[in-house]
Amino acid sequence: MNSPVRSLDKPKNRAAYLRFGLKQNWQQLVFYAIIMLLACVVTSIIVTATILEEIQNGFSMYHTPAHKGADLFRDIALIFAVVSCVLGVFSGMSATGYVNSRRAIHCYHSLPLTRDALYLEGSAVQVLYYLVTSLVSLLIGTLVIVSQLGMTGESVGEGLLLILTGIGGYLLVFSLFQLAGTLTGTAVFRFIAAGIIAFLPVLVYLMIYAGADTGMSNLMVDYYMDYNQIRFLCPAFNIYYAMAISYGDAYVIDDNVITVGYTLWSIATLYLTAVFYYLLGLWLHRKRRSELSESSLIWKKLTAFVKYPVIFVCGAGGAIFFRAALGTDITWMIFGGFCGLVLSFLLMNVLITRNTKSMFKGLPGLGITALVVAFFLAVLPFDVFGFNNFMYDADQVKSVTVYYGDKEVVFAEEDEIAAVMPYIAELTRNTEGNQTTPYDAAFMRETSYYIDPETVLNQSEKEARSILSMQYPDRGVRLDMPDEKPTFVWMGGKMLDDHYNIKCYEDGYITETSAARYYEGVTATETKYYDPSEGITSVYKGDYSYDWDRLEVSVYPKFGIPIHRYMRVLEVSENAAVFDVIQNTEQYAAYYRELADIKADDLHSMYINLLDESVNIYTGSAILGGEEMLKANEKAMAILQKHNALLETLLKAASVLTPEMTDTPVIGSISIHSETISRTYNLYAGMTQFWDAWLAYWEQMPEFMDNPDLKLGQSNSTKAYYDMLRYTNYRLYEDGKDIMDWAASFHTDTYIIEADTGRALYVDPDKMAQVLENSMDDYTLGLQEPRFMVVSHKYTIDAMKEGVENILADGRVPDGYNKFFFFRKDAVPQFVLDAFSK
Amino acid sequence: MIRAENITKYFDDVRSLHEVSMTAGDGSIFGLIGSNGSGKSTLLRILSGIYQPDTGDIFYDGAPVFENTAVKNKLVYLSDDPYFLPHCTMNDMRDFYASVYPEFDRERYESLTKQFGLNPRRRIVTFSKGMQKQVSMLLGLACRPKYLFCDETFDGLDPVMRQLVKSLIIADVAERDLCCVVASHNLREMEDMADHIALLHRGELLFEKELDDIRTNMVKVQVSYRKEICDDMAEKLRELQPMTLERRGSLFTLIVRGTEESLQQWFRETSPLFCEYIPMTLEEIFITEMEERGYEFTSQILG
Amino acid sequence: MQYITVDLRDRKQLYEQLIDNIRKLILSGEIGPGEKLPSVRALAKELCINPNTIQKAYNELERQGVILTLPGRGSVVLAETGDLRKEQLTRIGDALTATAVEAASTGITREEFLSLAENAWNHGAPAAENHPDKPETAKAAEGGNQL
Repeated sequence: MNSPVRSLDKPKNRAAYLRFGLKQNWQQLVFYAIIMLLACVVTSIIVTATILEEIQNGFSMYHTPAHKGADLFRDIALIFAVVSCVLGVFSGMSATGYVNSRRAIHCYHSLPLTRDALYLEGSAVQVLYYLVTSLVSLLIGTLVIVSQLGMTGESVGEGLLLILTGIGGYLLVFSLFQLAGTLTGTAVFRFIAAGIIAFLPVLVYLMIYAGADTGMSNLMVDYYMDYNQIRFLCPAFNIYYAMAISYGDAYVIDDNVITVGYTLWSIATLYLTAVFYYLLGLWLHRKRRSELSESSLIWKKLTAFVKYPVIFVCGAGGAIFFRAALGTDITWMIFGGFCGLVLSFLLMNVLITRNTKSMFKGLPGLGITALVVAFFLAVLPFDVFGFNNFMYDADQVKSVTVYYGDKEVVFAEEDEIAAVMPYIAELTRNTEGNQTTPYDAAFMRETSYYIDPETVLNQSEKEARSILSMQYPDRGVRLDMPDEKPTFVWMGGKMLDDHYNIKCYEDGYITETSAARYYEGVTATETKYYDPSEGITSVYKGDYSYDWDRLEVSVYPKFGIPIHRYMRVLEVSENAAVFDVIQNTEQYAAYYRELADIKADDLHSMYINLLDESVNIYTGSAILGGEEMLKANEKAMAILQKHNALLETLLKAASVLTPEMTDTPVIGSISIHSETISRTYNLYAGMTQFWDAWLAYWEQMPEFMDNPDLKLGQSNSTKAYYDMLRYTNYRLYEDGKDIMDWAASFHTDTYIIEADTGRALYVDPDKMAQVLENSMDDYTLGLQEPRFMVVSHKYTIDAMKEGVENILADGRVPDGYNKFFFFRKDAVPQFVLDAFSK
Repeated sequence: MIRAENITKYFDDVRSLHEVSMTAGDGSIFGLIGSNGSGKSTLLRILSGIYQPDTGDIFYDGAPVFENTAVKNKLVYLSDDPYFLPHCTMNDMRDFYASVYPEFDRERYESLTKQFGLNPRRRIVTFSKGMQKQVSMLLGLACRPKYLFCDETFDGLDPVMRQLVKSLIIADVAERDLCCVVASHNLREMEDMADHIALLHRGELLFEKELDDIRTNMVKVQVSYRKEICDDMAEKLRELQPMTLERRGSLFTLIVRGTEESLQQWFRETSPLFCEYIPMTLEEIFITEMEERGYEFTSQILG
Repeated sequence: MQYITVDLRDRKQLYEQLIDNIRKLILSGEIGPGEKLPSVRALAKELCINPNTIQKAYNELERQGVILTLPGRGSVVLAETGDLRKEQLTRIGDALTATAVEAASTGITREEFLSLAENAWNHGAPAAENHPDKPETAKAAEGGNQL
């Protein structure tokens, strides 16, 4: 023998084999390199060039180039993460691919390489290829960004997290397919098996919820689902989840802001799952019998565990799908279930045995699965146990949580539970399939207020009429009313507002008109009018709080399945009393106390809605017109701090809620978005401390409004609101004159239109204000031969003219029209007459 | 030395091998004869550590073979349907084996390549089936194995190549005590090469003997006697318990167990007119053995 | 030693052929006493026969006392031409005896037998001139080993 004997040291042996593998599969390296370069480098170059161009052209200077660079880095990292998962499929399908060929197995398993060595070296080649190509591409891409734009900000961290997610996703997908490979003998089946391992458990899980969702319309099925369970059952979803929170889109989970630690943990679960799959695959690979390659399933005993759950999912899924698509007729469901069962049964048999002759193998198993599906259908979509409308008795209940809007209240004490359960039980009875409940017409009449036509037309009520018409002109005069009788209703001192629903009831049912309008926001196709002398025709009992409409209730029994369901609490219902219970709980007040801790610097935005006039309270640097101004202007900074102190006073004032206050009506709301809170709170009429603070804020406003350094004064809506409050002193409208003044001055474009001809005359707002101030008595709401109409509109004059025509035609006031009134015939101001006489 | 004890192997419900035991010593050529489906390939694969038997043990000088790289470093299995890496050339396969077998001898590879007259830079898919077998043999020998398993490797080769391969194997057996186990259904070939022969039939080992023992212990005799004593002789000949006995007139042809020497004396004493000992080919011996065991013998067993 | 040959087409067992051929070579004086025979390995490679077969032949020759194998030193010829010649004579004598028995039992007379024997020699001896086993012809033959 001439050649020296090489050392028989095993690690050295394996190193040589690994080197060979890396050389041998170079085409795959090129493939990965091309994909990664396209994803990371080419994209980076192209988008960087685009951004540079934008900057040159002066666009989008809101973010600095470095911020844009960071955003681009993050976005490329996201692309990288997705591409990594795809490459994981390629790697997973090709490594240990030799097991699918008998000839290859005979060769490989006779070599002096252990099963472990074969498994590991295959993986090493793929993973090395991937890591090298990805990291190089990412590096180049990042260098491009850094050199051209720079990179700062939060997005850099997000990008790094996404890169970690991508690598974890690759490893997870790779080891999943490797595991699938140890269980199967053909490439096709490896792919199918990977899909089954990844999705079958979660599909079974979701099928149960789909079944419940189909049949139990009152239940909030997703509350029963635990996203952590889904993440556990479905690795693919876990990857998506890690990507989403790394990207920073899912800001808040369960009221908690996502921390970096939580994100890192979510990413770590990908790696842990990958390791688990990989080691399981390694062990199975050792046990794998060489002679079984090219058969579909290696571990024959697993066949039943795979076949029957798939058949169950297809059968149950078929039934549910048919029900969703074709209706609740039971025959469709049975047909769908039957098709799903049989087709999947045949298909699974053929795929597994690779032989159409064995199509009918395992018929008893099919029978059992069919029974399981039938039971499943009975219990869930058909709800034979009646869980959909079931509610526990008060003494069976351990705790109740009521969610309304963005807040929740927990009743855990026995007396609290005893207080609230009757209402909940009643709501359960009333709500059948989320349909609206009939209203008690008699109750409505007793609790509503109305104005009879005579009163409206009566001079002494003119002010009221004017108020109403000024505020809600499109509700007012209807030309085609049977007797030309306007109908208005309001309650107490409150005005009705057309953002709230108008419902017409007649002895307990809702008319089509109002229903359509309410629910779908489209113009009514049919309108019914009712003579007010015969009863209430339009009723609204509501609060300004939008979220009283719907409750989400979770009832946790001492023993048994919790009930999570919706309850529609409609406007007129005796069980609006549940709100009283809720409002008086300590937890409800605790929400308000949160407001005291908010610092103005942390506020992103704040909205106050008062009598449905909403104003955005400018916060932070928006007041000053931007970060640059903030830094440059010391004086502005001082004013900002003053403004912020006022805001904090407001918030502190709002934070105190007492039972006396909750007895008063809700007349507005305050919405806060800060670093830690995102919520809306009702404002009660009795919150006098708040209203005083509110007034104080607006009293200071001229200083802010007139300050040239601040942007506040330039905002129309703030100005308008400021004016409104200046004129109204925040009290509920009682003085029509003030309203008038305000209304008049609010209009930027005011026109007088001749009714017959449609000619329009632009009027200087100041002049108009003067006119109106002096001629309060001189206009009318009625159609007593109106000749001239004063209209203000936000839009163009052409659109306005068209609108005016419509107004004249059928009294219907389209969107965008505010505040019109007519001059009484004998009280038209001279300048108007002059103008139109030409 | 390879020792297999009571190997049984099932594929699903089909029994492929049943309690097969055999021994192959170092420096010998072991011929495994059997028809298609007799279990030859299965046995070879079990011996090579590809499959695991359901029952039974394998000992390579006392050590097991499955997953034992210390043994497999010196073991090469040549399949009846050789596998090559996709789109590879001979040199690629050389690198492959060199990276795995510690004693791969590149110079040997070079010289063998020349001897076989093959172009190592050509893609193996372009070779004919016979040439591919040559390639697999070439690579196998270059690995300098101590144990070489050939699954019908010779069957696709032309006579010249077959001779070359035979001489190479014999050289290794002589020089390096190579233990070569050859599965074949061609007895003629085995006669030239093997020193031990085993016959597999439907998973059972009918036979495992030294080739020479097989040949020396069965004798075909043609003997004739005077017409008068033929009938008596017919009776007497049966005392020998012949495996076959034919009579045409006064000429008897019989096959008897035993050596020529031991029978010479007996026949001389019967004073035959004519007595000739005819050497039997391995084929004839096997046919006789099989017939004695009651197997319906057609060409189904021996190709 | 190129002179050791075997005929693969011969039905006789290879190792028997080897034994016979080696004996013949010794008999003819080609290989003298004290000379070394080729090693088992070398001969196996040269003739392309299983080394075990060669080994068997050597073992048998040793048993017959024709050669002696020393471990590590190979196999050495022991027997003299003369000894083998004696054996050869015995063998031919036995063969003739057997033929004589056959002849006698079929009624051939002594004179006929001797006459036949003489004829046989007259015809056979010249033919033996060209017999490959004959020493002179063996020497003349070129590259006597067959593959």
